[in-house]
Amino acid sequence: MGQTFASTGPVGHRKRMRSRVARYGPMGLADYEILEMLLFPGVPRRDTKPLAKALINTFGSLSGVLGASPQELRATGVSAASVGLLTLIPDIAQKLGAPEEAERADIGEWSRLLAYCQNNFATAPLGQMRVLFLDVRNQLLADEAVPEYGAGVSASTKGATRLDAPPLALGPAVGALLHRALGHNASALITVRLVENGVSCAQALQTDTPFVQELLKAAPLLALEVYDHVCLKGKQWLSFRGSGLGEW
Amino acid sequence: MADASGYKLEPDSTVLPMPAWQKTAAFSSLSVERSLLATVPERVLLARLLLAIAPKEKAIDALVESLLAQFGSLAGVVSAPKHALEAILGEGAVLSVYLQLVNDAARRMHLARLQVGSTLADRAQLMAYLHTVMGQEAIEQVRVLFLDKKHHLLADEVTGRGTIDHAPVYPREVVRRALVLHAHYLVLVHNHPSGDPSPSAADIDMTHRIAQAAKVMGLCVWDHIIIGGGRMVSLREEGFL
Repeated sequence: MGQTFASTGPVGHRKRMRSRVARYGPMGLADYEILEMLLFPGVPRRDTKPLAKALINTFGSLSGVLGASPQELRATGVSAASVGLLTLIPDIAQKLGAPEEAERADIGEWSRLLAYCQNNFATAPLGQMRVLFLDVRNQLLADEAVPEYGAGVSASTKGATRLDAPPLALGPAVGALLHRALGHNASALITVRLVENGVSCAQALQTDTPFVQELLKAAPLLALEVYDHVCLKGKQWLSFRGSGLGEW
Repeated sequence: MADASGYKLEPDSTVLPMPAWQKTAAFSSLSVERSLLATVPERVLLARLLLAIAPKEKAIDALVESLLAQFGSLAGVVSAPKHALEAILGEGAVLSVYLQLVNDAARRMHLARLQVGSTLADRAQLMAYLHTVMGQEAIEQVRVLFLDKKHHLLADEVTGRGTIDHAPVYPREVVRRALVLHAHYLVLVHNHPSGDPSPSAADIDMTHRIAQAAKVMGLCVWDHIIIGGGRMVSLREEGFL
């Protein structure tokens, strides 16, 4: 009969502890276990539990150990490699305690939205649809190209994005877009069609109407607001909201 | 005194796996701009950290760039939830496990400083702790700091997680928990992922409801703190309590 444990020694202890953290997170570990694991990379094979406990005895607490100087740690028998990792932690704690706020583009106003489009879509392929995801303060979270969707895609889509897979039907395409919105934790979105040559803004708006209407129906169900759909052609633009093409 | 530890109501699910729009050209890839925001010292610190964890790792610089591109800053990388880290580093990857360990070690450092004497005495330290635990959250989270009569921290618990602009909290459950912990003072805390920590009317209303419920039991809601955009607003200081 095969044995349950290949060895009754401490083999695989480090792997087990890593699996534990990978599965359940680090919150359940005792302070000395956190320290024990932080000592693994700098101590190739030995059991680091005794050292971890001795360090906490010497410095009073996990916090005390992490706040100790490199010299103090070395004097207690900690390897240079381990000292390297331990002494980084107070600096990281400091960064976590005072994060920098990233500047996000504010496109809450029409003029700013247009400026953003002019600045960023000049070299984007014509025919493409972009989606701008906004947070609760109308700041830009993400700007993505929307994959071309379903039946009725016109022959002149050579400027549009190419997919290896066949394009999604309308419903699933809207679903995929809203899925991205949720992933970005967006509050609202604006879609922008970069109108291709040979097509007018009005024509593009007409073609896009079924998509936008589907989007308008689905988005509120997920607490997402669709601010507008804009067809952009050079310096010309046409807004779905202002055109009376659908219910707003 | 036992360790005051926060617990999460549910497994970390703030990062949603998304359909991969990989085939489309990302023209104004915000990820590039985000990684540019990280300062040189942050890059160096992150590189040193990764190297200290995995000295044999060869592609450190590339890893630093992809982590910063995804999470925006060193704080973002270290606070990233498991699923997000594993998406870049691989499932169960040693680096992912250790970033979580380092995050928790940093949290414990800040927590230990809060537990020296009165939790409310050092505003800066309280802010540092709250930023460490909530600063990178994309959704609203409500926590309660349960304090004893001498303002010593008994526990810090997440009572509710919500959505981008709202989180549920039940006055009854907060008070019930306070009774179990023998707390006397409560400090409510929540974050505004929008970056604006100003209290909404709903925030103020909820504060009063919990304060009234607590008062029935002779307990006191000492403050309600809102963090957002690197700032902290105290409803007590603003005169709402």
